[in-house]
Amino acid sequence: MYRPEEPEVNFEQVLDRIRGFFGKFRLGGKGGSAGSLIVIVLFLIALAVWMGSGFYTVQPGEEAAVRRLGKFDSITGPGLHWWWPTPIGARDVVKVADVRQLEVGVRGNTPILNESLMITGDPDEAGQPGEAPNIVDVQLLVQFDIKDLESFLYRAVDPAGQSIKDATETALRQVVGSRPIDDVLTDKKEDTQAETKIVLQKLLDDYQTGINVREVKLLNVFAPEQVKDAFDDVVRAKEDKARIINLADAYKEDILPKARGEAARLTEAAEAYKQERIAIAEGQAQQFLSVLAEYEKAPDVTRQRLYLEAMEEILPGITKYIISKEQGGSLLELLPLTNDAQLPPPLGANQ
Amino acid sequence: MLKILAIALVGLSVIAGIIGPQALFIVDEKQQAIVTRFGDVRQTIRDPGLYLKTPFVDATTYYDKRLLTFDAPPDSLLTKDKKRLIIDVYARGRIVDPKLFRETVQTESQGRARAINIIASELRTEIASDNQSEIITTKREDIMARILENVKPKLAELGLEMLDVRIKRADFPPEIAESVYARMQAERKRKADKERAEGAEIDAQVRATVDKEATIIRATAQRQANITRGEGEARAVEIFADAISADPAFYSFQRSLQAYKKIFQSNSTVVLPADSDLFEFLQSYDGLNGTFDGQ
Repeated sequence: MYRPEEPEVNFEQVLDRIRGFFGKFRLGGKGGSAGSLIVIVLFLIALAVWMGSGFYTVQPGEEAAVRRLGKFDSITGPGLHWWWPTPIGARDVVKVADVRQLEVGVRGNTPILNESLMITGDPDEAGQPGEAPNIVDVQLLVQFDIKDLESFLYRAVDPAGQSIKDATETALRQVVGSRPIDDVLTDKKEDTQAETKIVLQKLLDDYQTGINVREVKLLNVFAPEQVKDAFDDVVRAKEDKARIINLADAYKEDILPKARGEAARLTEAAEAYKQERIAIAEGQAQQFLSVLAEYEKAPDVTRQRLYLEAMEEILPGITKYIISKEQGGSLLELLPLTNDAQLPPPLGANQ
Repeated sequence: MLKILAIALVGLSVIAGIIGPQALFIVDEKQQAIVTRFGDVRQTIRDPGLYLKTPFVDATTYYDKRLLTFDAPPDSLLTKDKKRLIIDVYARGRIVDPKLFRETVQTESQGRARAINIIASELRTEIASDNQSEIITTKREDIMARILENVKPKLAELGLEMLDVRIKRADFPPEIAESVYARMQAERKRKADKERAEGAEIDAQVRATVDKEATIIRATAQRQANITRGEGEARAVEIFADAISADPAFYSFQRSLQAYKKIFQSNSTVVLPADSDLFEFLQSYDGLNGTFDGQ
């Protein structure tokens, strides 16, 4: 079996021979032939050119995997390197640090419906998942880089192409299929992303792709075109509900303070009335008691005086008829007792 | 000496150029190879490196050693509950026995086609024994694991080691999708109606509660107000009654006088009998006697 070391050994031997030969040539040794010399020089030039093509550089952010006689040897980092040229050696320089992207369900701005439309696992009324499946339109972006260049290059077929695309679609559909549509559309986007990322990374590891998933991002999640209006209407309905609740709260905030104000007005007015009544009563009682105190000093006289004083006060302003029984006067003679009737001049008028 | 060297170099180059490609071959990291002589497998090479073979007699066939994708085309399948799903499945596996692989299926493309056929038929059998909901959701993993278990021995006969079978897509056929959309629409309508109804419910509840509370607040205040007013009046009466009890007769007299003052306004007309107390002295005065004929 051929050993990789052998060409090196031969090479050394050849060099020794050449050194020896040049030494002889300078000394003007016998037997020199121009044709042979040209053959040897050409061979050496070809050898030098071939060896020179083994130099290569690895830029920052890149890694190179080198193979010798088909067998993977090692990974080299940035810098200037030499490795066996073809056909003995082979090298693959890859930008491992570059973040690559994969879009599912969309390419740029063009939706790809047969990728993006997928079934969700909505439960039926009995809560049995998947019995009332919906269809949702999901556009996903995966960002990834290479964590294991050896696997990436030699273990899986087309890792950054078909492999990751298959794995991504599988992971996304598996995750979306196990959730109700509202999780994916609204409430639990983050969860969906996180779970998809876990499932995807697991698949990629199983497939030995050497790919590291940096981020899984739901770009857009829509209700499919056919049912978009119905979904929008639910959003509107939720807004309507919120608005109505707001208005009801506003009503509450308007009515209750007013009622409390009115209540305060009622109780305060009543309190005022109470105090007023008590004050008046106390005043009147005191007034009565004061008068009574004076009255009791000479009851008869005071009583008479009070009576007459009252009469004095009352009678001057009013129209009076005084009827005397002794003079046979009858009330009937005075009727009708109205102001505009023709009456005999009242007595008061003469006084 | 020089001539010998030159001849040796030329000779070596010629031999390397003619014999080398025939006697030596490199098996790459991604590959495996078998060496055949007139159809007989002489060597199976699974490790990368440089290998020797007999020139002109031995032939080398290379096979991929990497994990291969076996992508079955989407197929419309019937589930246990007689629903139709379009299922796209793929499998991952590798050629572990190139000799067996070559003997059974010859080429990679034929092997691929055979493997896909086996997987597709296993998938059909499996799907026919599962309900649609299971395929969509919870049991998808189990289903895939069962398919893998069943295809593994069959594909091992081809020299293939199967690692994974995955349902990539499970979609509704267009005519079923339409009915799903119709149901979705109905569900959303129900949901929207529910939201609006709940809004109306909360609205009515809040307003009714508010009205109730406002009424209670006012009524409580009214009650308190009436009690307070009553207390005021009671207290007033009490205060008054206390005072009056000192001399009810005098109060009655005095209060009557006050009442008269109010009753008789300036435009009132009164008829007074001449023998009223007021005129006691008007009639009974006897100027001659100089005495009062009073009480």
